[in-house]
Amino acid sequence: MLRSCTTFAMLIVLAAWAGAQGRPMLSTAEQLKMLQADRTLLGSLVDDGLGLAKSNTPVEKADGCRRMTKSLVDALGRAAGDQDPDRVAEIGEHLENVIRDALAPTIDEARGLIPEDSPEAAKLKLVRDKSTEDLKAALASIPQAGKVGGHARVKETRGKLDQLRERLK
Amino acid sequence: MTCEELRSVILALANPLEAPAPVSEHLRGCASCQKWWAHLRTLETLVTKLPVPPAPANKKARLLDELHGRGPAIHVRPKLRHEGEGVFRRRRVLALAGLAASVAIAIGIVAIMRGPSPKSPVVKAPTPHPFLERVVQRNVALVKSTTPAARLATLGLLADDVRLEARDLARVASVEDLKALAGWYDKLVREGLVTQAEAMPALAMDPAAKAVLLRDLAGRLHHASEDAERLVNDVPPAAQESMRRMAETAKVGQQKLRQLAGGA
Repeated sequence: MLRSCTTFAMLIVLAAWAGAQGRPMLSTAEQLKMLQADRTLLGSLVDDGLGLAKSNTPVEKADGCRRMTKSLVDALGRAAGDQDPDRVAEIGEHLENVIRDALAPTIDEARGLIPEDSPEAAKLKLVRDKSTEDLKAALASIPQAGKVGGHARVKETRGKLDQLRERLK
Repeated sequence: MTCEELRSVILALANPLEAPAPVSEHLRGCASCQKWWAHLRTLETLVTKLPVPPAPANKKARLLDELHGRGPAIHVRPKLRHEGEGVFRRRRVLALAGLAASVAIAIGIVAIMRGPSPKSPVVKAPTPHPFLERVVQRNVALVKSTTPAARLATLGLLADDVRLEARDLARVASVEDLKALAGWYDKLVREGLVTQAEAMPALAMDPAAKAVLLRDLAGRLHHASEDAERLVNDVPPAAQESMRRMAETAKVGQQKLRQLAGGA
């Protein structure tokens, strides 16, 4: 009996804890609002995904990653222009993940596979240079202070993106 | 549900080829589990095709003899509780329950007397856009895909994400929003799934496994087509054109993938 009560009580506590951890469910209205806000970005990302699926060489794959990064950088600039710190932080976090988990490793992998003096190496260098420029543009679009720049999540994301500059060199 | 728990759940399913709703939900958001599940489904399908050697005629009789020869399964009888012990234990439990209830009531009274704290406003953290998150994750999975089969499977999941978003919003979204979703779905099925399946090199994958994968994708498109057709009569007139387009896209894609699977 005592064991059953204890187990039941622990289950209730665990359920409450698990419930508190989960993300809140979105209402249909919120879901629609988000789709409308991100429609341009989503359209670009679908095209980027198709481009990535068609890429056959390491350089094509790296360029596909860069295009995806560029779509996010453009969206970040728009969100910063709209003075929307939550969207800046959200898109900035996606950008950081894509650079860290996809773009940088793909460029590193391509570097290891392509001979240094080959035409492919020159193409890869171009992809890397453009990626560095894109990241610089992303950082420049986030204000240092004010409503957006002073936001804690934006500051944190900015710091993480700044650290990734070294990773792309 | 963690990835490990989900995989245990899938392994315990009577038919691991069909994922129930909670499993599908996790799979949609987890590239690693999708890859694992795709391997499992391929394995499951191929295992059924393995030839099974006939068992020896006296195998059953030998097994029964062996089991009988080992004696009873339970050798030690569990000790039963004395009646008095149960009464004491019950009293102890009641006392503990009473104590817990008193503490809970005391906390409640104190909380009511103090009233709401003006210094602790509830700050609602902004919810990230789940659909955007999934699309980004799929694209990262496409970057990490090292085989044409993995790419196809990921494209299939991305197409499903777009279809489900359209289904969720079909009754409330504007014509432009639905047209955009139907357009993305069309691109992903025609330019993605079908074109990639057609372009897959002959030696990229075992023909039997390729046929399994293509039939699985075709089956999902068939389900998508039926689902969109059902929705046509259930959404506002302005949304019907997009739903019809999605149904047609899925139908054509399904037919092409089945043809390719037949020749694989």
